[in-house]
Amino acid sequence: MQKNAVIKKTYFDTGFDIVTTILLVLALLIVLYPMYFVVIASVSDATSIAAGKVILLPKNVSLTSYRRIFQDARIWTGYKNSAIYTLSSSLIGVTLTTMAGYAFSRDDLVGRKGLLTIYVFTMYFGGGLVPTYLVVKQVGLMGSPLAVILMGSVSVYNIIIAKSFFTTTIPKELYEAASIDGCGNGRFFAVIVVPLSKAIIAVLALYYAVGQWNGYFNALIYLNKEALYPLQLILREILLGTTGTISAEITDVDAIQEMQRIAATIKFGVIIVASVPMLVMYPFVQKYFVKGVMIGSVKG
Amino acid sequence: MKKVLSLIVALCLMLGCTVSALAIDVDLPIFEEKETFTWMIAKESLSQNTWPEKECVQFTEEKTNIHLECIEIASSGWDEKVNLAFTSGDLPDCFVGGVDVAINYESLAAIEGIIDECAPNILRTFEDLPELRGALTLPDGHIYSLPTGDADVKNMINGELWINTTWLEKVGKEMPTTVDEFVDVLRAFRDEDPNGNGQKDEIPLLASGASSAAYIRQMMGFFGTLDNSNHIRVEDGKVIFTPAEDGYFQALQWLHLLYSEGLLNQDYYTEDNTQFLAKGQNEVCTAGVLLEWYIDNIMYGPYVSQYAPIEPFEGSLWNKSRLPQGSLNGFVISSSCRDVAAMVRYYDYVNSDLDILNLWNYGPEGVIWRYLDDGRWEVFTDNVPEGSSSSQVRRTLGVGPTCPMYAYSRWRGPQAEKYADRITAKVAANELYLKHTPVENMPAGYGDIEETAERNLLLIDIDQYLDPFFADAVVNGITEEAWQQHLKVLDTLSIDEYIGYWQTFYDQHT
Repeated sequence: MQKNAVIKKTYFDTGFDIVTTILLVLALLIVLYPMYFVVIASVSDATSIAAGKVILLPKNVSLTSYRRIFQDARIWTGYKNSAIYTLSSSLIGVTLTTMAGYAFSRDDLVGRKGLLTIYVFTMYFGGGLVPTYLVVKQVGLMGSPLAVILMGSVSVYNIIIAKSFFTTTIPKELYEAASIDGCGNGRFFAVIVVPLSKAIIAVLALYYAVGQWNGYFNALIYLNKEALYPLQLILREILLGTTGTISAEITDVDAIQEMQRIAATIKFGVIIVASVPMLVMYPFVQKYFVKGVMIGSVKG
Repeated sequence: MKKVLSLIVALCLMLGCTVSALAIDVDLPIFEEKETFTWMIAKESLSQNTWPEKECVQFTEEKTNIHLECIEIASSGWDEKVNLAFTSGDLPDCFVGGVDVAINYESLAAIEGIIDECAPNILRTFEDLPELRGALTLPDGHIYSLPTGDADVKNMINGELWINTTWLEKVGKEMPTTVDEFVDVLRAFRDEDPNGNGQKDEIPLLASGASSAAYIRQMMGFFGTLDNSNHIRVEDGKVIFTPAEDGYFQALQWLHLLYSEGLLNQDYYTEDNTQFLAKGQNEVCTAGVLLEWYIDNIMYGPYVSQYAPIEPFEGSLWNKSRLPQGSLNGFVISSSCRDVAAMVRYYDYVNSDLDILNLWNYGPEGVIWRYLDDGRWEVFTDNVPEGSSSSQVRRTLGVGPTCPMYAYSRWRGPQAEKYADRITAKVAANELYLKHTPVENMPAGYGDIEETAERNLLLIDIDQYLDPFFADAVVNGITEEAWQQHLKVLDTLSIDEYIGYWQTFYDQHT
């Protein structure tokens, strides 16, 4: 620090700083503006947005959008369902993934190579929609929330991230030392490995939670009742309801326009409402995030 | 003696038969004990509740003893779910909401025999609309689907031209009766500041690529040709591919003239639906001529009364909807259903009289529809709560048009129903336009399965070429060479084959 203070900045350095700052600020604006726009658009009225009058400040401020959203009982049910699915799915996901990851990180696991190959195989080749659908149906999960919770709860990619994390951060010697004191694998995992792995657990939880929160496809395919739909599927229905097949056959022009009007009014409010929970979650896991992901990625 | 006896026995048997057949016809309930059937239903997003909560479903269950186990699919995910059901073989008893019959007919139940035997109300529909039976029959001679939806005269014509008569007076012009006069009026709207605010914010002709009722291709008829989603018209029993007609060339040149002179909405190709709608919501009126289903679909309330329909000019053509209207594949029964006849009778019962039909279509009487003293009925909006809409209430109290009912001229239309003012105005405008629709029109219906598939494939190729060509011609203009080039390209797109399929279809159905 002391040394740096002595060296005088050249004009080139100053210029470099200025240019860099300008470029970074520009980049920041480019990234930030769309988000800002969503916020101001959500409190402006749909007509002004469509007419291109909302640019820097909200126009004809009204909370119609939010009033409409919060009046819609389906959105609340969706919120509740999404919360349940996200929590249970990440809980199951994190538990299974860390356990599998730990097992794979151990040299003394019998048949480790073979097992891992089978796991990885599923990353590249899947049965496809129809066979999966048939399996879900035959194990009796059709129409049950469990289908949605379980289907999104384990990803091989995350298992590999966990495995690499354990291989690099939990030295073999630690287990040797513990086992001399009579500690078995189960206890070692629960008492020593888990407390040392907060970073990777936070990252996995975030991955699973975001994936489940944003997902709608499994719910679309495996759920049959609107009362069980997660938030994203409800929103999709409200915003895209006009483009389904049947509406192509509906000649009810008024109904189509009504749907478009609703969609236009609540579009931006809905984005905010749907992203708030995830935005709230990020700061809490952010400090682990960089660390956990880096370790996972380097030694993938 | 023996002969007489056997004759009596035979007579008794026959009588027994007829009596029991009659019993199937009219008797409700359909089952003595409650029976459950699974229906897969395309749920409209405007609906605020589920089927089991609806009075029409409960009422029909009470009458028929058929309990519906409803799998309600968000309409945006309908295609995926239906395809999955057919590929996996995990079929519900019925589908309500549109299924590709031509592809899936092997998994569907043929119902023409059952209709003839025990569905008097469906047969009455067939009598009222003679073309319906043919339209529903596949080339293999079977009927696999029943129609749903509103077949209403108000939907015979899609977009129409509505002119601002206040502006017309202000610029001192008459209602245009030729294409040249029309252009003249549009120019006056552009130049003479008819809305009087001193700004050049007038859009002489407000049409938009964002809404099918506002497509400019509907005006191709001014030049004796037509353009529609299939790019065909029929004359003297011959199917004609319209984008190869001379009139099409003239129409393109004319549309370019409108565009290049700033007479046509300059955002025609770039705006989305909300932006289009916003153009009608200004405090100051900015639109001279609208191309829309009805004026208030786009125009701000106070200005609606200023507009009147323009009658298409002498010798021009206009598109009308293919008949029979409604969704022909709206209600299908799968072949795995254990009692197909019960399903047909359920549909038959819902279509038996206006009370139950409208209970499904609009909900209980007295909320948004009511009977009038003259025996007709009307839709009214007094009970629609603030912040909701008629469309929403209709789909929440009743089901709306996507349900096992087909509301055609017996139940709908001026003789059965008192229209709201706007619909009356729309129907009156339709009268003007119907005078100019071609005498021969392509009917709706099912064609040969393979030919239909082939034809749809060809249409994709044609559209992929034609859409950009059309847009380019309107925006940048089109020369004689470009037109010749266009005709050459059409030769490579198997147009003859495409028209051949339509010709076969047309001959089959007329």
